[in-house]
Amino acid sequence: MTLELKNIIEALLFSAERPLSPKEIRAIFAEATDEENPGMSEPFRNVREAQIVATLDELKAECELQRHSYQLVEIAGGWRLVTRPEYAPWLKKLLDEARPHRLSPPSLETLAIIALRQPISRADIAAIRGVEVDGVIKTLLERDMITIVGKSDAPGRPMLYGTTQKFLEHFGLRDIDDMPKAAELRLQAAALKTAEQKMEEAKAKATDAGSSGSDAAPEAVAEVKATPHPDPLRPGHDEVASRGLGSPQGERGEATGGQGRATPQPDPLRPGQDEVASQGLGSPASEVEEAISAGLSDEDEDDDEYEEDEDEGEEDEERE
Amino acid sequence: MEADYKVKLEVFEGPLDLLLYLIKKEEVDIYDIPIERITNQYMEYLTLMQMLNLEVAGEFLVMAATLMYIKSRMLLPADQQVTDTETEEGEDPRWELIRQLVEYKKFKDAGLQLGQREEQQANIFSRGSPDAGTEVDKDIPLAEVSIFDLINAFNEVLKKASAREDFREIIEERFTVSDKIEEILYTLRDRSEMIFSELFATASSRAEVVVTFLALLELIRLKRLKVVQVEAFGEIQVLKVA
Repeated sequence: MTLELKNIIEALLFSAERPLSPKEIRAIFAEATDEENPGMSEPFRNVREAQIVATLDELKAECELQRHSYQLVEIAGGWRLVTRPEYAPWLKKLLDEARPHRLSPPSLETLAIIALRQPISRADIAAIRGVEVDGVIKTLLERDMITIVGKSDAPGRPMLYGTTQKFLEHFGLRDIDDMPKAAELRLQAAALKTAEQKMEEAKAKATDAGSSGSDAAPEAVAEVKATPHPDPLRPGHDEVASRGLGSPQGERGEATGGQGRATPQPDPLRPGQDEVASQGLGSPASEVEEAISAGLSDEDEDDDEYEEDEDEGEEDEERE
Repeated sequence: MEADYKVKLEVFEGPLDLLLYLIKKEEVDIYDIPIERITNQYMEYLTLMQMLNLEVAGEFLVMAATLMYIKSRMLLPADQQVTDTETEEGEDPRWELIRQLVEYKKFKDAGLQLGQREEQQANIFSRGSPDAGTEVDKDIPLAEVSIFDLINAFNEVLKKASAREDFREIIEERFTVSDKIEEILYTLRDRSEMIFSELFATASSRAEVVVTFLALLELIRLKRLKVVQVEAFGEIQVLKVA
């Protein structure tokens, strides 16, 4: 009997209690040995991630095709077998409804702000919501939906919050870009980060220190470095560019290049395998680039965006 | 009104939520807010919230001041506007607020859509469901309607009650929130739901309406009752929690 890659992966997914990423699966293949029969595990030792991703796709299609009671979904940067919604009435009985209560609208909305603008401080969340958020933040921390990801360099060094892996799992999200309105709302955040990073650079130059002394979410800084600079001075968004900045005027002169458009927009449904591999908890640069390239093309319509524009995403793709 | 029973209800919604609620209710254009009308409504709601002793955040008062300021600036002819250094000349005094509202609304919508995903997700199970067994009691939504929907309904009942009051004999009656809680639960002893306005059908004074409403809020907070609204701005129903 010969084993197939597909069967092994299926067995892994079947018994896993968390989403498995292709990278993790590859690591398992690299390490596993069948001691009684080494010949069995050897052929899979060097299986490539691309192969694993292709197999996962195949398994997913098979679940659909054969009308299994379960489906294979991409969630929180990995893959997971879950039941189909139509079986909920019985499963709820079996599992005794031991699920946490749903979040209240103010919590959901605060969570959306944190997810799309992370890392973000309480004060910045409160500025968007127009009201204090202490109570809501406490609940979200207790529910493990958000966590402290660092400290800001702003006066008082406030805590910065970001979303957790559990947040993605709770909402069945693949990654942050899978969020509703992600492209539109994350763009401004990316512009802000770029502006912040420029300041960091300026500071670094001034003090001639390699590290700018920022211990606030180092991965966020790295992320910004890899980001093409969008024009942070989009009309009507001056406040985004200038918020939290010492000298917005200084930004004006140098940042009007707007070279962000060069990034091709990847198909959101099928990101390249390398991206899948790197999509961990944080937000890798590729995500931000995606958000920028997706968002930039609709900047002219900014004022009309209040009217729900569901087709936006499709339009963007067509323009590419 | 007896102050024997203080209802402490934290309101997580802020002034921007109230403004968006009023804009929707009045069916006005967010980009062309009739500032006078909205300001008056805003003040009316604020008064009601204070009357109910809800924990009204200071931000509500700041917004009230902002609205008043915008309203006063709108009254001046354009050529007499004070142009402060930060705003461009001739800029609509409402613009800053509108910009804030529009941005906030995007996040609010994103939050709503997250809620829908959460609902879909509640029907999907995986091995070792990660959420099982966690603390479930926190952050129960106050109601399936917003606090402003409740206040709106309360306001209507209150207006009716005031109109009725004039033709009644003056009897000294004392109501307490705890009595009203008993009364509501008694009414619902062998049925599972009632219409919001039914609660107040027998109320003979403003004081009684207020006390009844506070009793309702307390029962919602204690998770004995929940309220739902089938259509936007429609009749609110009160359901018994099993």
